[in-house]
Amino acid sequence: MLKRNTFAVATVAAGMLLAACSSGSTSGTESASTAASQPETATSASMAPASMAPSAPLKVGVVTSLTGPAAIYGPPVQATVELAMKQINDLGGVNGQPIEIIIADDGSNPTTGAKAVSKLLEQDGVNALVAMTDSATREGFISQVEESGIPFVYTTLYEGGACLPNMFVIGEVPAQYDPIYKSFVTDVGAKKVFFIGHDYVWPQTVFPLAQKSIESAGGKVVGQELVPFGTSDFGAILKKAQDAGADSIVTGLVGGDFGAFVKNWRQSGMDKSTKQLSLTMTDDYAQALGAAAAGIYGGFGYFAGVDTPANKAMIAAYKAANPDAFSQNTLTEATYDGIQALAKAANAAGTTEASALIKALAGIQLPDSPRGALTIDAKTHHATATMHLLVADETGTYSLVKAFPDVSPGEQCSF
Amino acid sequence: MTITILNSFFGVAVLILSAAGLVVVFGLMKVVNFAHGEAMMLGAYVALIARDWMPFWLGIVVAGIGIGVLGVVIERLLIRRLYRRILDTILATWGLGLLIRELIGAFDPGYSSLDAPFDAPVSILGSDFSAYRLFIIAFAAVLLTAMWVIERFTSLGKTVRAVISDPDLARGIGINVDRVYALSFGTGWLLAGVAGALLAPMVTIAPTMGGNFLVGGFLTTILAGPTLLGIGPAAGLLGGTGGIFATIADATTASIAVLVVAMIAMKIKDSRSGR
Repeated sequence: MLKRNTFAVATVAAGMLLAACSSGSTSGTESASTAASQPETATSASMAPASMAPSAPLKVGVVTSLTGPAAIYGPPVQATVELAMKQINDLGGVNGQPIEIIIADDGSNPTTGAKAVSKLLEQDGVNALVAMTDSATREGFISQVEESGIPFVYTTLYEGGACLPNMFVIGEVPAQYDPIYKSFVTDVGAKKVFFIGHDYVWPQTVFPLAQKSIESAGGKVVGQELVPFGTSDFGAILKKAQDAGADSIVTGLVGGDFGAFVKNWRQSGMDKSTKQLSLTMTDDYAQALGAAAAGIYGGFGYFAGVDTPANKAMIAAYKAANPDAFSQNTLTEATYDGIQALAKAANAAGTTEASALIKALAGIQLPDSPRGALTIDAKTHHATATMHLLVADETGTYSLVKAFPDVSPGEQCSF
Repeated sequence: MTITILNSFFGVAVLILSAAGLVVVFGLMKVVNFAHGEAMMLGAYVALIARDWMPFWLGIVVAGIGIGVLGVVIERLLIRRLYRRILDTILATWGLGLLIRELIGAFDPGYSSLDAPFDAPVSILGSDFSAYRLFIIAFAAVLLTAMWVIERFTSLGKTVRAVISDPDLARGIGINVDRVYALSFGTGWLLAGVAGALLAPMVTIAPTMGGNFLVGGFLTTILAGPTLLGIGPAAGLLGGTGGIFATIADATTASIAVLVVAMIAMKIKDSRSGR
């Protein structure tokens, strides 16, 4: 009897061990690769004469999802961050010293995320933090970041309105989609729009704003439906959209459910009678869908095909370092900009001291960002940047419909 | 109206497909297979990999046979040691599911997509409806009929009914119950593999996809009771409720309504059987 019980428990234990191992080994690789590319950081800093070392090296902690349901997003962010680190160091580092980056896994959940941030702040002693995590995870560690007082750059496309004196946002907020929705109405011809999204804070925030933009451009919103996570049957909802006379659909669906929706949409024949604007189909997602993505519109601050020398050079360098990886997407590129902004701010301030860094970050400009000119507004702590209306082709590759430079993040924070 | 009814039928069909393997395993062995969702996920991955080598339909067959054989192996190595210990099998199969999910996740964290063999809609009474959905409805109907014919009219069905009603007596009259158990578990996994492969073109293929089918599958299985055929009315009740509420209200209300109806039906069933 005992033996049989043990057997069942052992199977469970094996499963959990494997789960733990996969996250353990990832963070192991993290420190290993960071250490390998920065073998002499600590030594060179401590050996330098006091007169020549005015400040500590810039040590940036990066939090992202390397394991868990959002594990599709983290690994490319990690590879991009490593590229940014290498490029900054090849150009002489920050204040004459190499920049150091430590990556931590949030496990796609707030509990693990808060632990990851504690470790970065307390054990690693980072003097700046970058995060590409979902909003729930950010809220889980935000109080720690506030207490620490060190600069925090958040690089996720999110619902907006998160304000801290030491927090800066690179990444699209709903207000910046105004020109995208208007163009979807006037240039693409969406007149009767139906909204379909997941039932959580981001679509709930985005859809009312989208409605305002669409109506001000002469379009009409004919209906809306929010679904629980894990929905893969959209048959009844598509029928409602059809009955409401929709000629277009705006989707705010995250994760695998979006792919399921696209298939439902195609197989029901609604792809013939409606246009779709997806708020979540990043470059790599469109590529994964392939032909199924053809004709779907997307709106982002960045896409891999941005036609500037800065973007082409960045993608070439990224592909040279990661031959098997997919190209950049708006989340990875925003994190790249986040690291670059911190490095530039530290160089401008001549120190890595927190208050000086924060002062330098407010209003900082990245004129040659791969996404186009970008400014972190001193007042709102959010980025003014270019927005792109895109359409996917038969191979799932985005091309530009229209670009909107210098789009303001609107009223976010007031500092 | 046509489309709404067909969509409800489709919801019922998905429940039948997701529950068929569970019902076989639970009905015959009294084993609750918590790794059922992962077995479906593996079937979807087999279909995805098979795409590059063979026609879609052959991929479905390969998925069924492959996952079925895996089921027999798992029964021999793991489940065999836990007969008649329902809590232990829950724990063991849950652990097994976790193991499979993490193993697949280590190779493919991402979101893969498999095209349906026919993607275009067909016109029914003047409305467009997904041809693949129609096929899934037809397949579920055939599966249900086949299960009924086998259970009622074949000698295999007699064996199955004997083992369900009293395993000890069945053993006493010379039925090799151990062999029936191994084959039942294999059949349960085979059905899961086929269901996963068939539903793959309608969802996003990911290591976590099994969880989306598990709740509906379990509710149907519990309502279906000890015979294989209870799956029909159980899936009809739950799928119909889901379809109606998704139309008159929304998806969130529909999932709540399905749970409430399942609880009420369970209560009625219990009071009828005098428990």
